[in-house]
Amino acid sequence: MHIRRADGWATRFGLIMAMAGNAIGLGNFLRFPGKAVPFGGAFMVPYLLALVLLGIPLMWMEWTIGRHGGGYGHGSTPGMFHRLWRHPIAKYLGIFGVLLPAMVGVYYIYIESWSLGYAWQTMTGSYWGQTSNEEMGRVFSTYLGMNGGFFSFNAVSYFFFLLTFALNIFVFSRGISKGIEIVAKYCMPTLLIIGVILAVRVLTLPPVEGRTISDGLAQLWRVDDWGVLLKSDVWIAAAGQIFFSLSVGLGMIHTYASYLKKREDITLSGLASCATNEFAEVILGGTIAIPAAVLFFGVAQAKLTASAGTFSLGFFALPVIFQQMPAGQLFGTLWFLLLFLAGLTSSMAMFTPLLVFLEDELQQTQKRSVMLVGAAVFLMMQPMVLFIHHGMVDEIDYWVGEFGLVLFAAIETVVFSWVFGMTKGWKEMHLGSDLKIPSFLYYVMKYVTPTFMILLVAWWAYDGLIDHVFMKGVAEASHPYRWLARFIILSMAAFLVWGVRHAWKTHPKFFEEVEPLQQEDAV
Amino acid sequence: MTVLSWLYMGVVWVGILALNIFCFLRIFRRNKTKDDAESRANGS
Repeated sequence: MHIRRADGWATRFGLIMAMAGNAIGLGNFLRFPGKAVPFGGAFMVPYLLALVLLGIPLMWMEWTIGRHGGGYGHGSTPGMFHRLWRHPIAKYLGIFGVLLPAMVGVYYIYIESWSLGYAWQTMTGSYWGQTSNEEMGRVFSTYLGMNGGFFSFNAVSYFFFLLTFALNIFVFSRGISKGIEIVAKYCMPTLLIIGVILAVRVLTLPPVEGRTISDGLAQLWRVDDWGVLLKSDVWIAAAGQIFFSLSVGLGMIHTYASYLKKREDITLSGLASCATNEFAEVILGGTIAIPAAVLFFGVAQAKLTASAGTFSLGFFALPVIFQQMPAGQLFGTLWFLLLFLAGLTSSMAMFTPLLVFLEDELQQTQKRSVMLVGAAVFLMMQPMVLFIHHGMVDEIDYWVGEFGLVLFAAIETVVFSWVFGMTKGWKEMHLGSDLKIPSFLYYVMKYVTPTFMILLVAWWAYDGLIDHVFMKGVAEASHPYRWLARFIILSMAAFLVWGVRHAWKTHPKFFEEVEPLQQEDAV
Repeated sequence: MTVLSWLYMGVVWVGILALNIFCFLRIFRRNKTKDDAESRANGS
Protein backbone atom coordinates (compact mmCIF):
# COMPACT_ATOMS: atom_id res chain seq x y z
CA MET A 1 0.00 0.00 0.00
CA HIS A 2 1.20 3.49 -0.85
CA ILE A 3 1.77 5.46 2.34
CA ARG A 4 1.20 9.16 2.02
CA ARG A 5 3.89 11.44 3.40
CA ALA A 6 3.28 12.68 6.91
CA ASP A 7 2.32 16.26 6.22
CA GLY A 8 -0.85 18.26 6.65
CA TRP A 9 -2.39 21.36 8.16
CA ALA A 10 -1.20 21.98 11.68
CA THR A 11 -4.02 24.41 12.53
CA ARG A 12 -7.45 25.29 11.17
CA PHE A 13 -6.52 28.99 11.09
CA GLY A 14 -3.49 28.12 8.96
CA LEU A 15 -5.66 26.15 6.54
CA ILE A 16 -8.17 29.01 6.16
CA MET A 17 -5.43 31.60 5.72
CA ALA A 18 -3.71 29.43 3.10
CA MET A 19 -6.98 28.88 1.22
CA ALA A 20 -7.83 32.61 1.45
CA GLY A 21 -4.27 33.47 0.41
CA ASN A 22 -4.62 31.16 -2.57
CA ALA A 23 -7.73 33.12 -3.58
CA ILE A 24 -6.53 36.63 -2.75
CA GLY A 25 -4.16 37.69 -5.49
CA LEU A 26 -3.27 40.62 -7.70
CA GLY A 27 -6.73 40.29 -9.29
CA ASN A 28 -8.49 41.37 -6.09
CA PHE A 29 -6.80 44.76 -6.12
CA LEU A 30 -6.25 45.37 -9.84
CA ARG A 31 -8.62 43.22 -11.91
CA PHE A 32 -11.79 43.64 -9.85
CA PRO A 33 -11.97 47.47 -10.02
CA GLY A 34 -11.08 47.36 -13.72
CA LYS A 35 -13.95 44.96 -14.43
CA ALA A 36 -16.52 46.76 -12.26
CA VAL A 37 -15.99 50.38 -13.33
CA PRO A 38 -17.34 50.11 -16.92
CA PHE A 39 -20.71 48.92 -15.57
CA GLY A 40 -20.93 51.09 -12.42
CA GLY A 41 -22.88 49.92 -9.37
CA ALA A 42 -25.03 47.54 -11.45
CA PHE A 43 -21.98 45.22 -11.72
CA MET A 44 -22.36 44.16 -8.10
CA VAL A 45 -25.75 42.49 -8.78
CA PRO A 46 -24.44 39.80 -11.19
CA TYR A 47 -21.21 39.69 -9.19
CA LEU A 48 -22.99 38.75 -5.95
CA LEU A 49 -25.35 36.37 -7.76
CA ALA A 50 -22.37 34.64 -9.41
CA LEU A 51 -20.72 34.41 -6.00
CA VAL A 52 -23.72 32.61 -4.47
CA LEU A 53 -24.75 30.48 -7.47
CA LEU A 54 -21.34 29.66 -8.97
CA GLY A 55 -18.38 30.65 -6.84
CA ILE A 56 -19.32 29.33 -3.40
CA PRO A 57 -20.92 26.07 -4.69
CA LEU A 58 -17.86 25.39 -6.87
CA MET A 59 -15.56 26.15 -3.98
CA TRP A 60 -17.41 23.66 -1.74
CA MET A 61 -17.32 21.06 -4.53
CA GLU A 62 -13.55 21.48 -4.89
CA TRP A 63 -12.96 21.17 -1.15
CA THR A 64 -15.09 18.01 -1.17
CA ILE A 65 -13.37 16.46 -4.21
CA GLY A 66 -10.00 17.25 -2.61
CA ARG A 67 -10.78 15.76 0.81
CA HIS A 68 -12.45 12.72 -0.78
CA GLY A 69 -9.47 12.06 -3.07
CA GLY A 70 -7.01 12.74 -0.26
CA GLY A 71 -8.73 9.98 1.71
CA TYR A 72 -7.43 7.53 -0.90
CA GLY A 73 -3.95 9.08 -0.89
CA HIS A 74 -4.39 11.30 -3.97
CA GLY A 75 -3.22 14.90 -3.73
CA SER A 76 -3.93 15.92 -7.32
CA THR A 77 -6.98 15.80 -9.57
CA PRO A 78 -6.11 12.83 -11.87
CA GLY A 79 -6.37 10.46 -8.90
CA MET A 80 -9.26 12.40 -7.37
CA PHE A 81 -11.34 12.23 -10.56
CA HIS A 82 -10.54 8.50 -10.84
CA ARG A 83 -12.12 8.05 -7.39
CA LEU A 84 -15.22 10.02 -8.38
CA TRP A 85 -15.78 8.31 -11.71
CA ARG A 86 -14.48 4.82 -12.53
CA HIS A 87 -14.14 5.54 -16.22
CA PRO A 88 -10.76 5.37 -18.03
CA ILE A 89 -11.14 8.95 -19.21
CA ALA A 90 -11.71 10.42 -15.72
CA LYS A 91 -8.03 10.44 -14.75
CA TYR A 92 -7.12 12.19 -18.00
CA LEU A 93 -9.74 14.88 -17.40
CA GLY A 94 -8.11 15.43 -14.03
CA ILE A 95 -4.88 16.43 -15.77
CA PHE A 96 -6.31 19.95 -16.17
CA GLY A 97 -6.08 20.42 -12.40
CA VAL A 98 -2.30 19.97 -12.54
CA LEU A 99 -1.62 21.59 -15.90
CA LEU A 100 -3.57 24.84 -15.39
CA PRO A 101 -2.10 26.01 -12.07
CA ALA A 102 1.45 25.08 -13.12
CA MET A 103 1.15 26.99 -16.39
CA VAL A 104 -0.42 30.02 -14.68
CA GLY A 105 2.45 29.90 -12.19
CA VAL A 106 4.97 30.03 -15.05
CA TYR A 107 4.05 33.65 -15.80
CA TYR A 108 2.40 34.66 -12.52
CA ILE A 109 5.68 34.53 -10.56
CA TYR A 110 7.25 36.94 -13.05
CA ILE A 111 4.35 39.38 -12.62
CA GLU A 112 4.55 38.93 -8.86
CA SER A 113 8.24 39.86 -8.99
CA TRP A 114 7.34 43.23 -10.57
CA SER A 115 5.51 44.12 -7.35
CA LEU A 116 8.61 43.34 -5.31
CA GLY A 117 10.79 45.32 -7.72
CA TYR A 118 8.41 48.28 -7.62
CA ALA A 119 8.24 48.14 -3.81
CA TRP A 120 12.03 48.51 -3.82
CA GLN A 121 11.98 51.26 -6.46
CA THR A 122 9.29 53.16 -4.55
CA MET A 123 11.16 52.83 -1.27
CA THR A 124 14.35 54.17 -2.85
CA GLY A 125 12.41 56.75 -4.93
CA SER A 126 14.15 55.69 -8.14
CA TYR A 127 11.26 56.75 -10.41
CA TRP A 128 10.41 59.88 -8.41
CA GLY A 129 9.97 62.82 -10.75
CA GLN A 130 8.08 60.83 -13.43
CA THR A 131 4.74 62.47 -12.78
CA SER A 132 2.51 61.44 -15.66
CA ASN A 133 0.97 58.16 -16.80
CA GLU A 134 3.00 58.31 -20.01
CA GLU A 135 6.27 58.77 -18.13
CA MET A 136 5.41 55.93 -15.75
CA GLY A 137 4.55 53.80 -18.78
CA ARG A 138 8.11 54.37 -20.03
CA VAL A 139 9.50 53.50 -16.57
CA PHE A 140 7.52 50.24 -16.74
CA SER A 141 8.78 49.37 -20.26
CA THR A 142 12.35 50.08 -19.18
CA TYR A 143 11.90 47.98 -16.05
CA LEU A 144 10.84 45.02 -18.23
CA GLY A 145 13.69 45.69 -20.65
CA MET A 146 11.36 46.37 -23.58
CA ASN A 147 13.60 48.74 -25.50
CA GLY A 148 13.17 47.49 -29.04
CA GLY A 149 15.87 44.80 -28.82
CA PHE A 150 15.52 41.09 -29.59
CA PHE A 151 15.16 40.17 -25.91
CA SER A 152 13.20 41.99 -23.22
CA PHE A 153 15.82 41.93 -20.50
CA ASN A 154 16.71 44.18 -17.59
CA ALA A 155 19.18 43.02 -14.95
CA VAL A 156 17.24 44.66 -12.11
CA SER A 157 13.89 43.08 -13.00
CA TYR A 158 15.64 39.73 -13.62
CA PHE A 159 17.21 39.93 -10.16
CA PHE A 160 13.80 40.44 -8.54
CA PHE A 161 12.40 37.62 -10.66
CA LEU A 162 15.14 35.26 -9.42
CA LEU A 163 14.52 36.35 -5.84
CA THR A 164 10.76 35.75 -6.13
CA PHE A 165 11.27 32.41 -7.87
CA ALA A 166 13.72 31.24 -5.19
CA LEU A 167 11.35 32.32 -2.44
CA ASN A 168 8.47 30.37 -3.99
CA ILE A 169 10.58 27.23 -4.42
CA PHE A 170 11.85 27.53 -0.86
CA VAL A 171 8.32 27.84 0.54
CA PHE A 172 6.74 24.92 -1.28
CA SER A 173 9.80 22.71 -0.86
CA ARG A 174 9.16 22.86 2.89
CA GLY A 175 5.75 21.28 2.41
CA ILE A 176 2.39 22.24 3.82
CA SER A 177 2.77 22.67 7.57
CA LYS A 178 6.35 23.98 7.60
CA GLY A 179 6.19 26.06 4.43
CA ILE A 180 2.87 27.14 2.97
CA GLU A 181 0.98 27.25 6.27
CA ILE A 182 3.62 29.31 8.09
CA VAL A 183 3.85 31.85 5.25
CA ALA A 184 0.05 32.10 5.03
CA LYS A 185 -0.34 32.54 8.80
CA TYR A 186 1.98 35.55 8.84
CA CYS A 187 1.56 37.02 5.36
CA MET A 188 -2.24 37.02 5.21
CA PRO A 189 -2.86 39.08 8.38
CA THR A 190 -0.01 41.42 7.27
CA LEU A 191 -1.63 41.78 3.84
CA LEU A 192 -5.02 42.57 5.37
CA ILE A 193 -3.54 45.12 7.79
CA ILE A 194 -1.66 46.87 4.94
CA GLY A 195 -4.89 46.84 2.90
CA VAL A 196 -6.85 48.46 5.72
CA ILE A 197 -4.13 51.12 6.23
CA LEU A 198 -4.20 51.98 2.51
CA ALA A 199 -8.00 52.00 2.35
CA VAL A 200 -8.23 54.34 5.36
CA ARG A 201 -5.56 56.61 3.79
CA VAL A 202 -7.49 56.80 0.51
CA LEU A 203 -10.84 57.39 2.25
CA THR A 204 -9.38 60.28 4.28
CA LEU A 205 -7.68 62.06 1.35
CA PRO A 206 -8.71 65.74 1.05
CA PRO A 207 -10.50 66.99 -2.10
CA VAL A 208 -8.36 67.63 -5.20
CA GLU A 209 -9.53 70.36 -7.64
CA GLY A 210 -13.10 70.05 -6.36
CA ARG A 211 -13.17 66.24 -6.64
CA THR A 212 -13.80 64.21 -3.49
CA ILE A 213 -13.24 60.57 -2.64
CA SER A 214 -16.99 59.94 -2.92
CA ASP A 215 -16.72 60.76 -6.64
CA GLY A 216 -14.30 57.83 -6.87
CA LEU A 217 -16.50 55.46 -4.87
CA ALA A 218 -19.44 56.44 -7.08
CA GLN A 219 -17.72 54.76 -10.06
CA LEU A 220 -18.16 51.44 -8.32
CA TRP A 221 -21.38 51.97 -6.40
CA ARG A 222 -23.63 54.50 -8.18
CA VAL A 223 -26.13 52.92 -10.55
CA ASP A 224 -26.77 55.21 -13.51
CA ASP A 225 -28.43 52.61 -15.69
CA TRP A 226 -29.93 49.34 -14.53
CA GLY A 227 -30.39 48.54 -18.23
CA VAL A 228 -26.80 47.23 -18.42
CA LEU A 229 -28.08 44.12 -16.64
CA LEU A 230 -29.90 43.20 -19.84
CA LYS A 231 -26.58 42.83 -21.66
CA SER A 232 -24.62 39.58 -21.53
CA ASP A 233 -21.26 41.39 -21.11
CA VAL A 234 -21.84 42.32 -17.49
CA TRP A 235 -22.88 38.78 -16.52
CA ILE A 236 -19.86 37.21 -18.24
CA ALA A 237 -17.50 39.77 -16.71
CA ALA A 238 -18.96 39.19 -13.23
CA ALA A 239 -18.87 35.39 -13.51
CA GLY A 240 -15.30 35.53 -14.85
CA GLN A 241 -14.22 37.77 -12.01
CA ILE A 242 -15.68 35.37 -9.43
CA PHE A 243 -13.69 32.49 -10.96
CA PHE A 244 -10.41 34.37 -11.01
CA SER A 245 -11.02 35.82 -7.60
CA LEU A 246 -11.86 32.59 -5.78
CA SER A 247 -9.24 30.62 -7.75
CA VAL A 248 -11.80 27.94 -8.55
CA GLY A 249 -11.41 25.78 -11.66
CA LEU A 250 -7.66 25.54 -11.24
CA GLY A 251 -6.94 22.51 -9.08
CA MET A 252 -5.17 24.25 -6.22
CA ILE A 253 -8.05 24.08 -3.73
CA HIS A 254 -8.28 20.31 -4.36
CA THR A 255 -4.65 19.79 -3.41
CA TYR A 256 -4.87 21.89 -0.23
CA ALA A 257 -8.09 20.09 0.77
CA SER A 258 -6.54 16.67 0.16
CA TYR A 259 -4.56 17.13 3.38
CA LEU A 260 -7.75 17.27 5.46
CA LYS A 261 -8.90 14.36 7.54
CA LYS A 262 -12.03 12.50 6.55
CA ARG A 263 -14.24 14.15 9.18
CA GLU A 264 -12.61 17.55 9.23
CA ASP A 265 -15.04 20.38 8.46
CA ILE A 266 -15.00 21.85 4.98
CA THR A 267 -18.25 23.81 4.77
CA LEU A 268 -17.50 26.44 7.42
CA SER A 269 -13.76 26.65 6.70
CA GLY A 270 -14.47 27.02 2.98
CA LEU A 271 -17.03 29.75 3.56
CA ALA A 272 -14.60 31.57 5.88
CA SER A 273 -11.91 31.59 3.18
CA CYS A 274 -14.47 32.94 0.67
CA ALA A 275 -15.60 35.63 3.11
CA THR A 276 -11.98 36.73 3.65
CA ASN A 277 -11.48 36.90 -0.11
CA GLU A 278 -14.61 39.06 -0.55
CA PHE A 279 -13.43 41.40 2.22
CA ALA A 280 -10.12 41.84 0.40
CA GLU A 281 -11.74 42.25 -3.01
CA VAL A 282 -14.90 44.30 -2.52
CA ILE A 283 -14.04 46.34 0.57
CA LEU A 284 -10.26 46.81 0.17
CA GLY A 285 -9.86 46.31 -3.60
CA GLY A 286 -12.84 48.55 -4.33
CA THR A 287 -11.62 51.33 -2.08
CA ILE A 288 -7.97 51.82 -3.02
CA ALA A 289 -7.11 52.06 -6.72
CA ILE A 290 -10.17 53.52 -8.48
CA PRO A 291 -11.24 56.10 -5.85
CA ALA A 292 -7.64 57.38 -5.64
CA ALA A 293 -7.32 57.52 -9.45
CA VAL A 294 -10.61 59.45 -9.80
CA LEU A 295 -9.58 61.88 -7.06
CA PHE A 296 -6.25 62.76 -8.69
CA PHE A 297 -7.01 62.36 -12.43
CA GLY A 298 -10.77 62.84 -12.75
CA VAL A 299 -13.44 60.36 -13.83
CA ALA A 300 -12.64 60.24 -17.56
CA GLN A 301 -8.90 59.67 -17.14
CA ALA A 302 -9.41 57.10 -14.35
CA LYS A 303 -11.86 55.13 -16.52
CA LEU A 304 -9.44 55.27 -19.43
CA THR A 305 -6.61 53.99 -17.22
CA ALA A 306 -8.77 51.19 -15.82
CA SER A 307 -9.86 50.11 -19.30
CA ALA A 308 -6.26 50.17 -20.59
CA GLY A 309 -5.50 47.00 -18.64
CA THR A 310 -4.84 45.61 -15.22
CA PHE A 311 -1.30 46.90 -14.92
CA SER A 312 -1.84 50.47 -16.07
CA LEU A 313 -3.86 51.15 -12.93
CA GLY A 314 -1.44 49.59 -10.47
CA PHE A 315 1.93 50.30 -12.10
CA PHE A 316 1.34 53.58 -14.00
CA ALA A 317 -1.44 55.55 -12.32
CA LEU A 318 -0.91 54.78 -8.66
CA PRO A 319 2.85 55.56 -8.65
CA VAL A 320 1.93 58.98 -10.09
CA ILE A 321 -0.61 59.46 -7.30
CA PHE A 322 1.82 58.40 -4.58
CA GLN A 323 4.20 61.12 -5.73
CA GLN A 324 1.49 63.71 -5.07
CA MET A 325 0.47 62.36 -1.65
CA PRO A 326 2.01 63.28 1.70
CA ALA A 327 4.23 60.33 2.80
CA GLY A 328 3.67 58.92 -0.68
CA GLN A 329 6.87 56.86 -0.63
CA LEU A 330 5.67 55.02 2.46
CA PHE A 331 2.17 54.37 1.11
CA GLY A 332 3.54 53.48 -2.33
CA THR A 333 5.91 50.92 -0.81
CA LEU A 334 3.03 49.49 1.22
CA TRP A 335 0.89 49.24 -1.94
CA PHE A 336 3.48 47.22 -3.85
CA LEU A 337 4.21 45.08 -0.78
CA LEU A 338 0.48 44.38 -0.57
CA LEU A 339 0.49 43.25 -4.20
CA PHE A 340 3.60 41.15 -3.63
CA LEU A 341 2.13 39.37 -0.59
CA ALA A 342 -1.13 38.80 -2.47
CA GLY A 343 0.90 37.32 -5.33
CA LEU A 344 3.10 35.17 -3.11
CA THR A 345 0.23 33.58 -1.17
CA SER A 346 -1.35 32.63 -4.52
CA SER A 347 1.74 31.52 -6.44
CA MET A 348 3.02 29.21 -3.70
CA ALA A 349 -0.13 27.13 -4.30
CA MET A 350 0.31 26.93 -8.06
CA PHE A 351 3.06 24.32 -8.28
CA THR A 352 1.81 22.28 -5.34
CA PRO A 353 -0.55 20.09 -7.47
CA LEU A 354 2.34 19.23 -9.85
CA LEU A 355 4.67 18.55 -6.95
CA VAL A 356 2.12 16.34 -5.23
CA PHE A 357 1.32 14.57 -8.54
CA LEU A 358 4.99 13.57 -8.79
CA GLU A 359 5.07 12.46 -5.18
CA ASP A 360 1.74 10.64 -4.93
CA GLU A 361 1.05 9.24 -8.38
CA LEU A 362 4.59 8.88 -9.76
CA GLN A 363 5.94 8.00 -6.30
CA GLN A 364 8.98 10.27 -6.44
CA THR A 365 10.68 11.50 -3.28
CA GLN A 366 9.89 15.04 -2.13
CA LYS A 367 13.46 16.21 -2.75
CA ARG A 368 13.51 14.82 -6.27
CA SER A 369 10.06 16.24 -7.03
CA VAL A 370 11.07 19.73 -5.88
CA MET A 371 14.23 19.59 -8.01
CA LEU A 372 12.33 18.40 -11.08
CA VAL A 373 9.56 20.98 -10.72
CA GLY A 374 12.03 23.77 -9.95
CA ALA A 375 14.24 23.02 -12.95
CA ALA A 376 11.36 22.51 -15.41
CA VAL A 377 9.49 25.61 -14.30
CA PHE A 378 12.62 27.77 -14.37
CA LEU A 379 13.30 26.72 -17.96
CA MET A 380 9.71 27.38 -19.04
CA MET A 381 9.81 30.82 -17.43
CA GLN A 382 12.75 32.06 -19.50
CA PRO A 383 10.82 32.65 -22.75
CA MET A 384 8.10 34.44 -20.71
CA VAL A 385 10.71 36.86 -19.38
CA LEU A 386 12.76 37.30 -22.53
CA PHE A 387 9.93 37.53 -25.07
CA ILE A 388 7.24 39.24 -23.04
CA HIS A 389 7.04 41.96 -25.71
CA HIS A 390 5.75 39.33 -28.15
CA GLY A 391 2.73 38.53 -26.00
CA MET A 392 3.80 35.10 -24.72
CA VAL A 393 2.24 35.80 -21.33
CA ASP A 394 -1.05 36.87 -22.98
CA GLU A 395 -1.10 33.68 -25.05
CA ILE A 396 -0.62 31.37 -22.07
CA ASP A 397 -3.01 33.45 -19.96
CA TYR A 398 -5.80 33.04 -22.53
CA TRP A 399 -5.43 29.26 -22.89
CA VAL A 400 -4.90 28.31 -19.27
CA GLY A 401 -6.03 31.31 -17.17
CA GLU A 402 -9.24 31.99 -19.08
CA PHE A 403 -10.49 29.25 -21.41
CA GLY A 404 -8.88 26.31 -19.59
CA LEU A 405 -10.14 27.49 -16.23
CA VAL A 406 -13.77 27.75 -17.34
CA LEU A 407 -13.53 24.41 -19.18
CA PHE A 408 -12.09 22.58 -16.18
CA ALA A 409 -14.66 24.14 -13.84
CA ALA A 410 -17.43 22.91 -16.17
CA ILE A 411 -15.91 19.41 -16.30
CA GLU A 412 -15.60 19.12 -12.54
CA THR A 413 -19.14 20.35 -11.83
CA VAL A 414 -20.55 17.81 -14.28
CA VAL A 415 -18.38 15.00 -12.88
CA PHE A 416 -19.24 15.89 -9.27
CA SER A 417 -22.94 16.75 -9.57
CA TRP A 418 -24.09 14.43 -12.33
CA VAL A 419 -21.63 11.53 -12.50
CA PHE A 420 -20.56 11.07 -8.88
CA GLY A 421 -24.07 12.23 -7.98
CA MET A 422 -25.26 15.15 -5.93
CA THR A 423 -26.81 12.93 -3.24
CA LYS A 424 -23.46 11.27 -2.55
CA GLY A 425 -21.66 14.58 -3.01
CA TRP A 426 -23.91 16.38 -0.53
CA LYS A 427 -23.37 13.62 2.04
CA GLU A 428 -19.62 13.69 1.50
CA MET A 429 -19.59 17.50 1.81
CA HIS A 430 -21.32 17.35 5.18
CA LEU A 431 -19.06 14.73 6.79
CA GLY A 432 -17.93 16.34 10.06
CA SER A 433 -19.29 19.71 8.95
CA ASP A 434 -19.63 22.63 11.33
CA LEU A 435 -22.15 24.32 9.06
CA LYS A 436 -25.25 22.87 7.42
CA ILE A 437 -25.47 24.28 3.90
CA PRO A 438 -28.96 25.67 3.12
CA SER A 439 -30.98 23.04 1.21
CA PHE A 440 -31.68 25.28 -1.79
CA LEU A 441 -27.96 25.13 -2.61
CA TYR A 442 -28.31 21.37 -3.13
CA TYR A 443 -30.52 22.12 -6.14
CA VAL A 444 -28.26 24.97 -7.21
CA MET A 445 -25.26 22.59 -7.23
CA LYS A 446 -27.24 19.85 -8.94
CA TYR A 447 -28.84 21.89 -11.72
CA VAL A 448 -27.83 25.56 -11.85
CA THR A 449 -24.04 25.44 -11.46
CA PRO A 450 -23.32 22.68 -14.05
CA THR A 451 -25.80 24.12 -16.57
CA PHE A 452 -24.44 27.62 -16.18
CA MET A 453 -20.90 26.33 -16.54
CA ILE A 454 -21.70 24.49 -19.77
CA LEU A 455 -23.33 27.67 -21.15
CA LEU A 456 -20.31 29.69 -20.07
CA VAL A 457 -17.93 27.35 -21.92
CA ALA A 458 -20.13 27.58 -25.01
CA TRP A 459 -20.14 31.37 -24.79
CA TRP A 460 -16.38 31.50 -24.24
CA ALA A 461 -15.86 29.26 -27.28
CA TYR A 462 -18.22 31.40 -29.36
CA ASP A 463 -16.70 34.68 -28.21
CA GLY A 464 -13.21 34.70 -29.63
CA LEU A 465 -11.97 31.09 -29.52
CA ILE A 466 -11.59 30.90 -33.30
CA ASP A 467 -9.94 34.33 -33.36
CA HIS A 468 -7.48 33.16 -30.73
CA VAL A 469 -6.74 29.90 -32.53
CA PHE A 470 -5.84 31.80 -35.70
CA MET A 471 -4.16 34.67 -33.77
CA LYS A 472 -6.43 37.31 -35.28
CA GLY A 473 -5.08 40.79 -34.61
CA VAL A 474 -1.66 39.50 -33.51
CA ALA A 475 1.36 41.01 -35.29
CA GLU A 476 2.94 38.60 -37.78
CA ALA A 477 6.33 38.94 -36.06
CA SER A 478 4.86 37.62 -32.79
CA HIS A 479 3.34 34.44 -34.28
CA PRO A 480 6.40 32.19 -33.71
CA TYR A 481 6.54 33.28 -30.05
CA ARG A 482 2.84 32.62 -29.59
CA TRP A 483 3.40 29.15 -31.08
CA LEU A 484 6.25 28.64 -28.66
CA ALA A 485 3.85 29.44 -25.80
CA ARG A 486 1.41 26.82 -27.14
CA PHE A 487 4.24 24.32 -27.53
CA ILE A 488 5.16 24.82 -23.85
CA ILE A 489 1.57 24.17 -22.75
CA LEU A 490 1.26 21.10 -24.97
CA SER A 491 4.62 19.73 -23.79
CA MET A 492 3.51 19.96 -20.19
CA ALA A 493 0.15 18.36 -21.08
CA ALA A 494 1.97 15.53 -22.91
CA PHE A 495 4.17 14.91 -19.90
CA LEU A 496 1.12 14.70 -17.65
CA VAL A 497 -0.66 12.28 -20.01
CA TRP A 498 2.46 10.11 -19.98
CA GLY A 499 2.64 10.44 -16.17
CA VAL A 500 -0.94 9.27 -15.71
CA ARG A 501 -0.50 6.33 -18.09
CA HIS A 502 2.77 5.38 -16.41
CA ALA A 503 1.36 5.60 -12.89
CA TRP A 504 -1.74 3.55 -13.62
CA LYS A 505 0.37 0.94 -15.43
CA THR A 506 3.25 0.55 -12.99
CA HIS A 507 1.38 0.46 -9.68
CA PRO A 508 -2.27 -0.25 -10.52
CA LYS A 509 -3.04 -1.60 -7.06
CA PHE A 510 -2.74 1.90 -5.58
CA PHE A 511 -5.61 2.96 -7.80
CA GLU A 512 -7.73 -0.08 -7.06
CA GLU A 513 -7.98 0.36 -3.29
CA VAL A 514 -11.65 0.19 -2.45
CA GLU A 515 -11.58 1.49 1.07
CA PRO A 516 -10.22 4.96 1.75
CA LEU A 517 -7.06 5.20 3.81
CA GLN A 518 -7.57 5.94 7.48
CA GLN A 519 -6.31 9.48 7.24
CA GLU A 520 -6.69 10.09 10.94
CA ASP A 521 -3.72 7.76 11.28
CA ALA A 522 -1.95 8.54 8.05
CA VAL A 523 -1.70 12.32 8.32
CA MET B 1 -22.45 59.39 -4.45
CA THR B 2 -26.15 59.62 -3.89
CA VAL B 3 -27.80 58.60 -0.61
CA LEU B 4 -28.97 55.40 -2.30
CA SER B 5 -25.42 54.65 -3.49
CA TRP B 6 -24.06 55.03 0.05
CA LEU B 7 -26.85 52.77 1.28
CA TYR B 8 -26.11 50.20 -1.45
CA MET B 9 -22.40 50.20 -0.63
CA GLY B 10 -23.16 50.05 3.11
CA VAL B 11 -25.48 47.04 2.74
CA VAL B 12 -22.90 45.08 0.70
CA TRP B 13 -20.05 46.00 3.07
CA VAL B 14 -22.11 45.09 6.16
CA GLY B 15 -23.12 41.81 4.49
CA ILE B 16 -19.50 40.86 3.80
CA LEU B 17 -18.32 41.91 7.25
CA ALA B 18 -21.22 40.03 8.88
CA LEU B 19 -20.33 36.89 6.93
CA ASN B 20 -16.71 37.16 8.12
CA ILE B 21 -17.76 37.69 11.74
CA PHE B 22 -20.25 34.80 11.54
CA CYS B 23 -17.68 32.37 10.13
CA PHE B 24 -14.73 33.24 12.35
CA LEU B 25 -16.80 33.49 15.57
CA ARG B 26 -18.28 30.09 14.84
CA ILE B 27 -14.86 28.61 14.11
CA PHE B 28 -13.39 30.16 17.23
CA ARG B 29 -16.24 28.87 19.44
CA ARG B 30 -16.10 25.44 17.82
CA ASN B 31 -12.33 25.19 18.36
CA LYS B 32 -12.74 26.28 21.96
CA THR B 33 -15.43 23.64 22.55
CA LYS B 34 -13.19 20.95 21.01
CA ASP B 35 -10.19 22.09 23.07
CA ASP B 36 -12.26 22.03 26.28
CA ALA B 37 -13.56 18.54 25.47
CA GLU B 38 -10.02 17.32 24.75
CA SER B 39 -8.63 18.74 27.99
CA ARG B 40 -11.53 17.21 29.95
CA ALA B 41 -10.85 13.83 28.30
CA ASN B 42 -7.13 14.10 29.08
CA GLY B 43 -7.83 15.06 32.68
CA SER B 44 -10.20 12.17 33.38
